[in-house]
Amino acid sequence: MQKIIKSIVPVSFIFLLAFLPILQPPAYFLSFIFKVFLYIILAESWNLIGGFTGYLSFGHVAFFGIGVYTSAMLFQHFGLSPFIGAIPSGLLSSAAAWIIGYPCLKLRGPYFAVVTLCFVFIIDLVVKNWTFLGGSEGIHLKLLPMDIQLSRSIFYETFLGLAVASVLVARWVQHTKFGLGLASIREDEEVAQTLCIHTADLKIKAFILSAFIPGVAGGIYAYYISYIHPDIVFDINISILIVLMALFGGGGSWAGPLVGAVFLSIVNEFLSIFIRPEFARIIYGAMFIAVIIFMPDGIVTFFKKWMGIRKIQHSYTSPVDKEK
Amino acid sequence: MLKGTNITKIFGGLIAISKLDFEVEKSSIVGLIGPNGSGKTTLFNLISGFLRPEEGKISFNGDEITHLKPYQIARFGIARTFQIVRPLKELTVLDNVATGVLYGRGTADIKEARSDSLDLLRFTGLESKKDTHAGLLKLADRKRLEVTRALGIRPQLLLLDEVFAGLNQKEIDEAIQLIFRIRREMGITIFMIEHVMKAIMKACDRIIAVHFGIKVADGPPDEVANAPKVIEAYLGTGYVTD
Ligand SMILES: Nc1ncnc2c1ncn2[C@@H]1O[C@H](COP(=O)(O)OP(=O)(O)OP(=O)(O)O)[C@@H](O)[C@H]1O
Ligand SMILES: [Mg+2]
Repeated sequence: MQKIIKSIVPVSFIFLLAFLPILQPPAYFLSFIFKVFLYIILAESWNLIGGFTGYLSFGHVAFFGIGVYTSAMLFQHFGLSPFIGAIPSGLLSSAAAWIIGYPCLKLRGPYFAVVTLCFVFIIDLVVKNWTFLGGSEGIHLKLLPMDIQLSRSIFYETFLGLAVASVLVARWVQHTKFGLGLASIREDEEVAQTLCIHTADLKIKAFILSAFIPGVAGGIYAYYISYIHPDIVFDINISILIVLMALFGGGGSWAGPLVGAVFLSIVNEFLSIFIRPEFARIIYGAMFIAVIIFMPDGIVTFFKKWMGIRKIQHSYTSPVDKEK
Repeated sequence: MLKGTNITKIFGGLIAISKLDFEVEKSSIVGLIGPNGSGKTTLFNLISGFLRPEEGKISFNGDEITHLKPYQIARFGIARTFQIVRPLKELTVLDNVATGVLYGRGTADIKEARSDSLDLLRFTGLESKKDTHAGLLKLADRKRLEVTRALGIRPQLLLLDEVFAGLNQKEIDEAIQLIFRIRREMGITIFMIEHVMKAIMKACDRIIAVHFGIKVADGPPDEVANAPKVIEAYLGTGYVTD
């Protein structure tokens, strides 16, 4: 019963969002919300490897980009609909994660971060120099044979669905055996091994899953932008923003990236509308630094604690205990 | 149950373990003693798969485990604790244990694992701390958690690395009682490293003493404690009188 009451608010909110296009709000507003959905999808899926498992990946945008290019190619050469093409897009992103994850997940800490960063640069260079993929000219996709208003709404609804799905996946992972295994890897990988956990196997599974979701989203996004260029879809700034959003909200739980993505998207939008971009950047950066310093576990954890909901106290190791 | 033959481990130029033979019989409590840096923890790291020996063979219940990975050895039924305790800090005490229950016992359901873990916490006396973040525990409780978490995988053999170190007399007595109960009620064999001589004499059926990675004594506690080579190792040559 309590469960039902608790889920009424989010469910009705999702319905409200779903009905929004019918009210025909300004195109600008709809596209802003669409972008928020995109960041929720990216931050939630990143969190599976970055937050739950503790492997700070800066390569997440690459999986998104691979998805974009896969479905674009499938559409151009086989006329495959974006909504079908999204599935092979996700699969190819996962395959890429499997291939690069195998060697890279052996690296820890900053080494893993740097290698995943390089992965984005490499794939960006490859695509720019590969004429089959449009090279540095990019690809123009034919517009879908339907009314622009209608197609925008369809994209909007699809991304709403994907955003909800990625939040639910993260929530599910967090509360299962899989999630607890990942958390133990984040805390201490060697201890995890003494607890019978095949850590390499679990990490690669998390990485593959975390790459599948942006792959699918990219597959659909290709038609949304219709002009595809490596500078747009392999933009390292997107990778960085994803990491910031997830950590801003808090990487330990499914709620963190959701809150971080929504909040930072809104703040970013406001700042860029009302303040000159240079100042906007400074405020944005300062805010992030403040959160990292004063709320290292993210704002979600901070406010839960602040409101006294959090039963468990904040982790603190006294220097005396550390000695032992 | 656990058997090592001719084990040698070298770090760079340092011979940490040298041609060591040892055996731990089923249902026994065996102690491993030796001065600082004599290779005790190194031996545990070899048994649990974190290090590979340069030479020699380790077998468990007749199966060779020398070259297996740590998680495979754990799945064979060998659990260990760490000398410098390593709680999974951001997880609750309950989930520290539940992780081992889930993966070590093949439990799939997290609720079921947590309820089994609660039984274990009750057994080791940590029940009241179940919802605390493990990083917040004080040392005695961290050591207790280290042991409880190891029990989570339902091991046949438990390797304890200095679980008494840093505890006061009362806590040591409790820890000894716990070790006896682990053997008696769970039927788990115990191989333990210890510095606190009085405690280990009380707890063990048999003691192995090492010095510079070489075995210098192996037998019943009182015999080992009086062995000249052991006294020499602990006190220096000059103190051996007769
Ligand atoms: N990973 C390693 N790399 C290099 N040298 C090591 C390593 N581990 C241990 N040693 C060295 O091997 C020797 C044995 O160390 P070990 O930790 O096994 O001793 P110990 O008997 O457990 O000592 P203590 O009672 O202080 O815990 C020491 O000289 C130590 O410095
Ligand atoms: Mg040691």
